[in-house]
Amino acid sequence: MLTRLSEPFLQVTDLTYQYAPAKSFSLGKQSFTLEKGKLLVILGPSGSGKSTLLQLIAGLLRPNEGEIIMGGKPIHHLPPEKRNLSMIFQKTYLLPFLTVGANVEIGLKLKGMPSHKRRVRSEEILNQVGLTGFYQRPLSSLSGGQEQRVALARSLVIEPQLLLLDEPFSQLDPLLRRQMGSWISDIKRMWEIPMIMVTHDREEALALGDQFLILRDGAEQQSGTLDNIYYEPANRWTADFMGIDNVLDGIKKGTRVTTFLGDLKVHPHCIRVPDGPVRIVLRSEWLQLDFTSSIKATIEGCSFRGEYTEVKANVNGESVVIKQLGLSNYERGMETGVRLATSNVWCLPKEVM
Amino acid sequence: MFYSKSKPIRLMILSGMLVPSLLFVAGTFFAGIFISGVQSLDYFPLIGKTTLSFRVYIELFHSAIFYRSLFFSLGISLAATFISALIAVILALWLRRYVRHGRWLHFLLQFNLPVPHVVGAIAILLLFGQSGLISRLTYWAGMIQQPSQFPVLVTDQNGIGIVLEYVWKEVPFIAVSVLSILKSWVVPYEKQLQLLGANAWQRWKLVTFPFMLPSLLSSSIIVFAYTFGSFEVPYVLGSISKPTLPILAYQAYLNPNLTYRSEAMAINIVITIISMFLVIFYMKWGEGYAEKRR
Repeated sequence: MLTRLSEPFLQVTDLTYQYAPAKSFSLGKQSFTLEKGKLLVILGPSGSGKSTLLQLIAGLLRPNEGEIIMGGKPIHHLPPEKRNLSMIFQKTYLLPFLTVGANVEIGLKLKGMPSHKRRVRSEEILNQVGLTGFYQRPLSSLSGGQEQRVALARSLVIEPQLLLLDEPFSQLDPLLRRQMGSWISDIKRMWEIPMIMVTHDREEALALGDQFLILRDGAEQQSGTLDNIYYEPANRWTADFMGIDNVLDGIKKGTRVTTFLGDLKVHPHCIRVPDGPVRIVLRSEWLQLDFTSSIKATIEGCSFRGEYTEVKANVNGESVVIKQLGLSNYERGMETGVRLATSNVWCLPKEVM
Repeated sequence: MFYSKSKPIRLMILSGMLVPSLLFVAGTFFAGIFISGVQSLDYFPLIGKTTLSFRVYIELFHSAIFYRSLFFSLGISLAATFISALIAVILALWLRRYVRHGRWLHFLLQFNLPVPHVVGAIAILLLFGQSGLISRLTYWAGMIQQPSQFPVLVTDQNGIGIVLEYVWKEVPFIAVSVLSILKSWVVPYEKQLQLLGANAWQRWKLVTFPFMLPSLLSSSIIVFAYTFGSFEVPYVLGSISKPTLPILAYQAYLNPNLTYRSEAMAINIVITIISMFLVIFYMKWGEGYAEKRR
C-alpha cells in the first residue's frame, strides 16, 4: 500500500485495552497522529495508563480494539520484533556480560549484518552520542548517564521508524536529565525520527514535546500543542496538573469577565463559553507585583523555590499566587499592588470544573 | 560488657563468641578428615601398623574395581545432573508462563524438597522394582506375562534406579533456583531485545540462557557433588556387584578383616578431594560467575 503524502506518519485510532478483570484498569479509546521529526509527550500521573498506551504501540500488549498505522501500513497485529521501532525504558537493560560495543550492535547482529560493518556503524553512533572510544569498554566502567547514552545508541543504530521513550531519564540526576533532554532534541532534529515519550515530569515534557496527550485514569483529558496545554487547559484537573496556581471565580458577559482582579478580556477561544458564572485560570507568572497598580494587595507570605520566589498575596479578600523571577523578600502584611501581565484570560464553564 | 568503640576489638570479641560453635563444627569435621587421612596412610596402631606409607593409595590406583566404581559414580552423577538440569530448565520455562497460579504451582514443584532421599529411594524401589507397582499394573494390563519380564530398573548394573531417584529429587531443586531468575528480572531484558528485533530463539540464546546460566550452573554443581558422595540412594537402589564409590568404601569399612580399613579411608579421601574440587568449581563458576554478571 502506498503512503499518501497527506497522511500522517503514525495514526493511532480508537485504541483500547482492558487488563485482566482482577486489575480492573482499562485504557479508554485513544486516538492521535504523529508526523516525522515530532515528539509526542504522553503526560499523566502514576496509574493514568500512559505506559500501557506506549506498550500497545510497541506491541508488548495487544489492544482490545483500535488500529495503529505506521508509514501507511497497519502494525497493530504484528509482534514487537516486526514493528521496526525501538524503545528506551527507565532502566537501560544493557546486557551486563557484553561490552559497550556488543550492546550497541546487538540489533544489527539480530538482522544478520556482518561484524565489520556492525563495528563501523556502532562506532559512528557512539561518536554521535559523545562516547567516542567506548566500543571495547566493559559496561561496569560507565556512569548512569553514559549507560543511558549507550541505550540510546543501541536503539538508534537499527534506524527505527519510531522511537518510544518510557520515562527514560527518571533515574538520572537533574543535571544529567537536562543533558539527555538536549541529546533527544538534537537527535529528533538531525534524524527526523518521530518519538513518543511517556513522563510525569511536567518540566521535561514541556521542554521536549511538540505534541501532548494528557491522561488520567485511562481517559484523555486534553491533547494538542504546547500552546494548547500551557495556555488553554481543558478542565480544572488539567489546569491543576499543568501547574496553574490561580483558578478564580468570575462572571462572563460576552467578551469580558468580571473578577476580583477587575474587568478582564476573555481569550478569543473562550467566547463560546456560556455567559454567567465561570472560572478563569491564571498562571502565577502572569501576575506581577506592582506598587503603582490600582489593584491593591497585601503580602501573605513568600518562599524561594530555587529559581523563583513564590509570593502569596491577598487581593480583595481572595488569595492569589504570584511567581517572581529570582530571590525576593517581602514582609508579611506589606501593602502593594498587583498587575496582570496578559491581555486576555482563559475561562472554563463552571460545570466542567 | 561486650561493647568497645574500637572495631578490631569488637571483631575479636565477636570471633571469641563464635569459637565454641566453630570448634564443634570445624573440630569434628577436621578431626574426621585427619583420622581418615592418617588411617588411609596405613597408620593403624590397633593392628600394629605404626608407620606412614602410600601403599594403600598405590594399590587403589592400580585396582580395576576402584576405577570401575569411580567411573560408575561419576557416570551416575553426570547423568543425574544433566537429565535433572534439562528437565528443570524445560519445567521452569513452562511454569513461568503461569505466574497467576504461582502459589499452587510453586507448592506442587517444591513439595518433594523436604522428603529425605532414602524415602525417595524406597518409593522408587516400590514403584519400579520387578515386583513393584508399575510392574504389577503392566501385568494386570496384560502387557507382561510374568514379573521377570518387566525391565530391571532398580538394583541394576546401569544405575537406572539411582539416576531415577536423583532426577525425581533434584529437578525441583534446580527448577526453583532457575525459575526465580526467569520470573523476575530477565523479563524486561527479553522485552528490550524483542523490541530490537529478536525472535523467540534469539531471545533465548542471547538473554534467557545467559541470565539463567549462573544459577543453573551453581545448582547443578551442588547436585553433582551431592549425588557423587551420596551413600543411602545407591545402598537402597544399587547393585551389590557394581558398587558406587561410597558403597565400595562402606564395604571395605565393614570388612571383618581390619587391614581393609585403610582402603576404606583412602577411598573416602579420594571422594573428599573430588568434592573439594567441586566446591572450588562452585565458588568460581557458580557463585563467582553470578556475582560477575550482576
